[in-house]
Amino acid sequence: MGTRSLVRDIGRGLALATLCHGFADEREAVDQLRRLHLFSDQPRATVTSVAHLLHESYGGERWVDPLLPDLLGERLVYGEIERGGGELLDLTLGPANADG
Amino acid sequence: MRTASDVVPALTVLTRVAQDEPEGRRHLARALRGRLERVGEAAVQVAAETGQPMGEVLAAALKEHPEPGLFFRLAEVCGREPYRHSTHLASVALAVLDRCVESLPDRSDDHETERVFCRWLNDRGSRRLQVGQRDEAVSDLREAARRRSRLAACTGSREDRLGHARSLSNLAQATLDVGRRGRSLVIGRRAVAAIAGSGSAVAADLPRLAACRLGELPGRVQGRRSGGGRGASRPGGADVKVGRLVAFPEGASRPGGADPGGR
Repeated sequence: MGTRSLVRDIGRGLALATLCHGFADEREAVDQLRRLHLFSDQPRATVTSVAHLLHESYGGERWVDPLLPDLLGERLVYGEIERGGGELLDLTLGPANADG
Repeated sequence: MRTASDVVPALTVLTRVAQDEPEGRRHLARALRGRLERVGEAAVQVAAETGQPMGEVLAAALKEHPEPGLFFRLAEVCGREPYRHSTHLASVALAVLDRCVESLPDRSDDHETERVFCRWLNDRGSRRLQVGQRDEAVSDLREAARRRSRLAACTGSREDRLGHARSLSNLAQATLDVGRRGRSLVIGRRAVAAIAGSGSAVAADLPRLAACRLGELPGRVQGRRSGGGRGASRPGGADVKVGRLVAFPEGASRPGGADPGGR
């Protein structure tokens, strides 16, 4: 995992946290991050390290807060979805099906 | 499994993105597509609290949705406080109520079904008034009043008599909005009579309500009453009654009313 890729992956993790209104604790953070495609094949220790990095950088009211101010968080989410982050919609809203 | 309230933050962020980014609207539509059964109620909440374009995107998505069950659920949600008067929800509520009215079989012999149908007609008329479809609003509200009158005559229940009064009250407002003041006055009087005959606690308060609302009447009506215009020759308090009816508890037709989502 190169530095540029790592930064991008952390960005996607933070976008997920922003859409979920943050993560309540370490367990939720790790579980949610592991659902992202880019972390799914990473060792748990690696994902836990990323979760702690997010906690130390963006912890607040929640174990990991959404990216604040809101405008920055929204910009990040928009960028991630534009970069093919459709999985963010599946992870936060549930998978799309044929209901409409 | 994420619950309906869990998805509110995500839909809120996506709506805000769509407020700033032209492409964001497409992402919002994509977020709703195929998920309406799961996120429909949350989307209504976000539309009311965060504003457009969620209401417009949701209304468009609903038009493609095949299952009537969702529409019945959303009609209940849109009809409750604090969403009842939300202008952000007007297009959503209209899309929902259109489908509800189309989907319900005509069973006027079944009082409960008829009661629900009349409420939807009344609500659709109120929403049409909200978006400026005045003639269509009058048509819906007239039909709701007619059916509720028949229902009240059949059942004799206080609930149905009060429902009839509410539809008349909204019809009086809609008729006033299309410029038919004389007709509005007649309907307003029928509404007052229906309220008085409903046995409702509101009926006992009619004189006091009419008096205390005097200072809240729109200037146009107040001016007519005190300015010696054509309305001044009418029986005292007649316009007051029409004006007061707008503020009747189920007066869902208040255009420009406080919008809980109007931030």
